[in-house]
Amino acid sequence: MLIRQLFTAVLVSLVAFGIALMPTSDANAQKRGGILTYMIPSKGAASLDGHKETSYATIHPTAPFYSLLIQVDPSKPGAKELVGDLAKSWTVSSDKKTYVFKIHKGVKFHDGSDMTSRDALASWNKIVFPPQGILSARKAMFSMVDTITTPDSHTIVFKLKFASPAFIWAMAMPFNYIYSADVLAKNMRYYETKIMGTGAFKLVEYTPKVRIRGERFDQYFKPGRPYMDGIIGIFSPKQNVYVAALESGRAYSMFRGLPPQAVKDLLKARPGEFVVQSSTWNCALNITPNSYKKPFDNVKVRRALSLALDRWGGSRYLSKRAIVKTVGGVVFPGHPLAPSRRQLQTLEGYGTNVKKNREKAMQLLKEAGVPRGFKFTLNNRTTDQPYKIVGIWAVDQWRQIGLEVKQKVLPTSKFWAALRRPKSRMTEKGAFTVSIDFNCQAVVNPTVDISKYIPSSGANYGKYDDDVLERLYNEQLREPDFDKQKALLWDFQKRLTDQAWTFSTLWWHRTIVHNRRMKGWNITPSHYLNMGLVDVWLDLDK
Amino acid sequence: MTETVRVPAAADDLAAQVSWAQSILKFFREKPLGAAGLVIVLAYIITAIFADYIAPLDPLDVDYDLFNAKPSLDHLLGTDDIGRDLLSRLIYGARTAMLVGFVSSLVGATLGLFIGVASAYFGGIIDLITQRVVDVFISFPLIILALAIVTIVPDVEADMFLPEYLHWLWPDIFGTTLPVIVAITIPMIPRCARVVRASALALREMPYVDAARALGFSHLRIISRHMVPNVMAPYLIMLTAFMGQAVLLEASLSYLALGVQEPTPAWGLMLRGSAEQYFRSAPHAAIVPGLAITMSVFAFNVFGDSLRDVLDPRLRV
Amino acid sequence: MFPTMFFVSVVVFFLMQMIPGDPVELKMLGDGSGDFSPEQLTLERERYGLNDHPVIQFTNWMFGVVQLDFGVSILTDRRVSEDIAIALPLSFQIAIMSTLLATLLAIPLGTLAALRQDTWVDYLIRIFSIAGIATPGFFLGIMMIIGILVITNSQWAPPFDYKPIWVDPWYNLSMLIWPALATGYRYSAVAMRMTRSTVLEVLREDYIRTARAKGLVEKIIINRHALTNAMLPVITVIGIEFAFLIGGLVVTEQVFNLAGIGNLFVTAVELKDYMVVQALVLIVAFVFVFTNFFIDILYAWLDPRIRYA
Repeated sequence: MLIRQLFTAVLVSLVAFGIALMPTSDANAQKRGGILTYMIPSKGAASLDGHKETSYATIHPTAPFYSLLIQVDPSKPGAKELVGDLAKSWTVSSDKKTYVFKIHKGVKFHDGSDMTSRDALASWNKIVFPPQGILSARKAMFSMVDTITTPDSHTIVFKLKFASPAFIWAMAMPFNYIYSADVLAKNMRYYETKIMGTGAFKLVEYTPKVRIRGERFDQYFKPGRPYMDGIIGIFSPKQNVYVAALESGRAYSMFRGLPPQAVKDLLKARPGEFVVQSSTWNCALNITPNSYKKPFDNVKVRRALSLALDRWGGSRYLSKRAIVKTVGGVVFPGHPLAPSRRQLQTLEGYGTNVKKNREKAMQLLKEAGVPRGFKFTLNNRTTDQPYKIVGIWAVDQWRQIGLEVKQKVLPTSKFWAALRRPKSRMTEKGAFTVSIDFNCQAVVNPTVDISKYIPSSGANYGKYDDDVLERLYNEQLREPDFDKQKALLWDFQKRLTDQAWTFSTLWWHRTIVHNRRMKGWNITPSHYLNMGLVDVWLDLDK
Repeated sequence: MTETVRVPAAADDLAAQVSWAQSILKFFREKPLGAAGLVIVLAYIITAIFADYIAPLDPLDVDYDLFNAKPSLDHLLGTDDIGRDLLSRLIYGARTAMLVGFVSSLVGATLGLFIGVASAYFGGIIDLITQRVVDVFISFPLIILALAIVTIVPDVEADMFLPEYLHWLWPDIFGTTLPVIVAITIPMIPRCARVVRASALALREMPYVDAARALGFSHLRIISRHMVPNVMAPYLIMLTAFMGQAVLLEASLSYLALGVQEPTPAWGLMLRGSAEQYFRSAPHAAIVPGLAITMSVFAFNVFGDSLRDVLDPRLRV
Repeated sequence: MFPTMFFVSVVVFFLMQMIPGDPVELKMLGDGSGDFSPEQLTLERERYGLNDHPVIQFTNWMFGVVQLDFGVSILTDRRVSEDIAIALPLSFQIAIMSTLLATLLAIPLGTLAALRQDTWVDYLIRIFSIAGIATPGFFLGIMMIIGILVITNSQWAPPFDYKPIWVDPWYNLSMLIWPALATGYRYSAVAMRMTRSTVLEVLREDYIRTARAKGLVEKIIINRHALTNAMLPVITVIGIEFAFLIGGLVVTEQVFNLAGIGNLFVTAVELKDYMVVQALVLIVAFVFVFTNFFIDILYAWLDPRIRYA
């Protein structure tokens, strides 16, 4: 048993870091040509400006048209190091407060103009110091940045107010497209509705909510790239449509993630036709009680809710039905900063002895004066995968400690209205009691990813106050020493678990099924990453 | 279009009762299709009321080892993507559909009846304003208005307004279907009001209404005692027509994920999600709830049609 | 006509105000990976004028509408007119196709049913038409997809990638014929019932009896006298249903994954994208009001009694 668990643990971490199942690509075998059709499982992108958007619905259609300054290595997405994209190289000063990036020479925009540090500066200023009225979704991530300067036409320098290990990872966010300074100077909002970058593909046609089409950009700065002649992204929010497209070979991939049943159906329908890649997903599915409502104002009751969940058993059961699998805390499981499996199991509610956990949960409920058969409502989103399915599982788990829970599924607007209710109105009758919650991030960067859990975060839907969490977060953010940072993160996790303001159920699990003819693409722990498609090639001569 | 209204002669109670029984018999003999519709409707109603006894399993119970299962002895129609019994969900779905269908069409048609009659009775500026409002609401397609309203109306649960010991008065299904019921009721009111008003206009000038007015009866009394009973034919026709429409509308809203919400069993919901995703391996999961909707609306319609033929053949709905 | 349109605007505007949630938050938080400060959100709201008093918002919007400017979509930052221009051709084509289909089916079948009243032909046509009214368009659509999958054994499914008819007619038709059939069936059922009952009524009229007494050929009676006079109510129904077709498309487009007006409407309602919903409702109401107006004129033209009155 122990050996099997160990084995699974090793396998999980290997898969998470993309070593085990990664198809090895032979550097010489790439073929040129072909057009890749891929499905975008969305009703359509909001705006096209990556700097202000937060959704894959913007990344999937637009990433092939842009370059980043630095990026997660597309060939080894799980690696501990980042690689340059437009940046040829970079250096860090000894106090870790100055970052100097050298930019490739001879980079062209799709309109034929040269890309220089001026463009990088304009783009980064828009992200870090957006002018009045311009929205930047990642402004908060760069709170440590003091100044951005360009000493020469191919160098850009970031000076930080304080050293932070989070900085460089935030730089690699896939949303940080480099735009043209001239275009921005004319119209700051140009990129909300138009596309013009330095990416491997050049826009041919964009019909909102229908399709985006790009052709090879001949002046792309990486020699010999891209391999493909063009790309077509097709929007389709319906699973049956994109699965049918994959099955018939009319589309080669869908880059978000498929539920287990669809994977099974596809492999069965066309054996040998598909390649499966999977990874833990940088999305945690959480449950947040409203601590302003009785009896959830009592920490014992909140802890009981967490203790009742059989996370390890749930992982086995739910991974067959939903896009969740990995047991973890607030830090991405398998990340060097994450607690080991054994350490995690010492955490309340994460142990393997379910019976003991549930007994303790019932004891806690009794102490808090919550009667057996106590009824409450769990708010959930109307999306099947994975929210509704995990919700139904959680309701059953709570039934086993004598709580009668009703799942209430809400359409998008009502769901968010409930979560975003201001603190002062959390005690009202209409406020949610317990809600499904989630933390979905892009580049695996735990120090920043956990910012959702601090009380001052805009995403703190439990509206809890906790100075300890706030302090621990800020300390770890500034802690240069890896081991100390890890220890601080563990303290943060412990504190959160002890208070049970919000707690995780399982982490999502991403499974991509793509046509075997599509090569050179590697799965990442996030559906936001690796969408540039620069190295993807098609093996069509069969 | 012309619409004639027959004013029934006054008859004493006994005669009325006899003619009731007779006319039902006559209805069954002359309108076999309509009668069949009525029988199907009754069957749906019985299923809805006694769902607890008819359904083999609890529609919310999850069989953790079986999901997307094919039909078997344990689950006659198989299970859905999270292991719930499809047959039971289908049967309980009748409860949701009938509740929404009956309540919204009854409330919608009845409010429309009173508004229509009052508008015709008072005439003048009141009639003018009412007709303007009716015009405005009629120029929205039903589903468009319903979609907007359904997102506005909140779920109302028992614990929001009732003390603990009275919770049985307001079962969960009322709370979860309330937004849908309101959303369907509101667009129906003006549609009924318009038809009823057209019939009631003729009544206004009838001698017995004049007489009642001359005797100094109150407006309320004249409307409810003298006018409303005489526009029963168009009212009943609109009512039956609305029932089918309401069931259809509820299914459409639920299919769009904006109507009845999970985990409440509803036919429209059963058609979306897993039924659509896996209809290659399990087509019955989509076909059966769809047939349930079609058959109920079909039954309401044939019954309504025949009723119209009997009551007022020239009225078009 | 204009007062109605104005009040429609008022109703839809204030309905949208009542939908819970904030459109800026809804669009920003959908996927959950961003962290916006309240100040940023306020600024964004400012941009769309959402912080103003509703009455001011309404006035601003009305001023725009009068100049045919429907504003900017909160969700996509495109002009609403652009979004609608993309979605409209597709929906309009389906609407036209189902109207044609409905008319071609309804008038001959409805007349036939009336002429053969209470025979098996009549019963069959009536059942066909009542079934059409009872079958939800989305269920019919799903059945079509299942049917296609079974018949073609998964090798063919309706195309998922819309191309305008002038670009690739065959491709376009093989995609849109299915939703047109799904909505057209219901539509034709309504028109068929109307045709049947009006033809029946007309056949009972005095002048038909006179024509028969005169010994006119039955064919002439039907074509020249009965049908022409029965057409008025049928045209009304076809016209009104055309205006309401957009409502039916709301659901059908979801089934076939088409990015038309209906789809646009549902997304906009879900995410409270005011401007889009308001513009769409106004358009639908306008089509309705205009169709009614058009029908009145047609009536006058077809019916000499009205023309000379």
